[in-house]
Amino acid sequence: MNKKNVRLTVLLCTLLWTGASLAQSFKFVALGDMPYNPPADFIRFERLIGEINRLNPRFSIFIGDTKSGSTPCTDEYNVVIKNYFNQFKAPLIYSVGDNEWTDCHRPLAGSYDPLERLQNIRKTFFPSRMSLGKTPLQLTRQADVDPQYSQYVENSFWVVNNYLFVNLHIPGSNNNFEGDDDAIQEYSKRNRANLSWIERAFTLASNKSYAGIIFSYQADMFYKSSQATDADSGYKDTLTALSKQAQEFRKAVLLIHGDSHRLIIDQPLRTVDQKSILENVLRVQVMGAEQVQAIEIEVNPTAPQPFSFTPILMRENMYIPRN
Amino acid sequence: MQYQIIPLEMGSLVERHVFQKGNKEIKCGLVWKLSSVLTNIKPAFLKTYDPNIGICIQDVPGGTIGETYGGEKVIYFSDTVEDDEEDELSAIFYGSSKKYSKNYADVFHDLGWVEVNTESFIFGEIEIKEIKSTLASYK
Repeated sequence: MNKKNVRLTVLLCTLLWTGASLAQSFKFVALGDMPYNPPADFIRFERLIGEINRLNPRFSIFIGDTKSGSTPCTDEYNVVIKNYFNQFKAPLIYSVGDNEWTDCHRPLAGSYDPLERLQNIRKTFFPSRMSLGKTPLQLTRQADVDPQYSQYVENSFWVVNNYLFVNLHIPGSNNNFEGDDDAIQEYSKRNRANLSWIERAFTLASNKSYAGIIFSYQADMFYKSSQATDADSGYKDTLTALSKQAQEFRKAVLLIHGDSHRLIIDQPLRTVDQKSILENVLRVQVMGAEQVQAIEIEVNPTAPQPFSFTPILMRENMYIPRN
Repeated sequence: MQYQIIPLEMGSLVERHVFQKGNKEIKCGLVWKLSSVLTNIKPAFLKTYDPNIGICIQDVPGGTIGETYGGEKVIYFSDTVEDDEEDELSAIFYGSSKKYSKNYADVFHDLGWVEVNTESFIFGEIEIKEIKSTLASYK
């Protein structure tokens, strides 16, 4: 075999290997809204982390609310949670929830300044472009690629087997679009950053011919249908952007969130005029609060509908019926 | 044939939810000024019915609450709930705080409370009426 033929063979093998790799199924885990009842729930959370490690997913996504709304928002608690996140063997990507900052003004949560708590969350959980977990994953962060939004270290994306994963900071409590002027101002700036990140994700996925996009964030934007249309909804802009761009994208989109604590898999995203369901968009809301469980999601690039879901329901962690 | 179970005293139909968190408990719900229970199965509980105890709607075969009027919200706390927490939970329950955009049960849940029981019941003197279906005559 001459040199030219060897080069062609190597190139062909590389292309075949890359193609086969992109077509391979992979699994990841989504969980969130826990532990709500420490210290008892710390034991259940540890057990769940052990089970997730045993299942050996490619990575895990924690979709926010590291505590209940009445657990004090202390620095020490954040460190405890970070240590838990770093017990995950695979990478752990964290979407920020409302209980760990927007709701910290509540007396039961310690009457903190929410914006000060947000800074603590960013400093504690997002000090670099590496995810959490024992084998962290390098993320592309909005803060690193868009100087206009340099404070949004929590917004990120990563790519696995031709699927784009996008992390967004959209918490419950109406996305912080309520309360005093400081809160409204914070919401407005972050909302612009989120909309820009969503647009960038769809543009990137189209340009690179990615097979699908998976968005993770905390808020239950489908709690009430009016959240898509009301002027005082903190989710209206996001839902409009997702509707418009998912319809144009046409490929598979998965929305993963928590906030309302019950496992739901459905198709709630509608067209911008709210008249029709967007069939290429699935959402999964993870269980949480007293349900210290998770959901394993498989992505099969060769299937017409690539996502399948297996709840991880540990018998020892069940609240009702108790073990 | 449909049967209507009508309480003869106002405020005798109650919807109650019980939430717990550790050693703390909330009992809350609605007291309907006027309402009734509808069922297609002839009620047979009257023989053992005690007006002072009442009966759960779930224990009335086929029973569902009919139209309701004048619901009044009520909430009670166990002694183990501190005053500050009571104030905040009451504000959530009565919807007097704009800080919470979800219904009270979901907010309680987010605050770490678990709903352990929900039931509706009727008590006091009752009357049972038979209602003939008018729709049937059109068939």
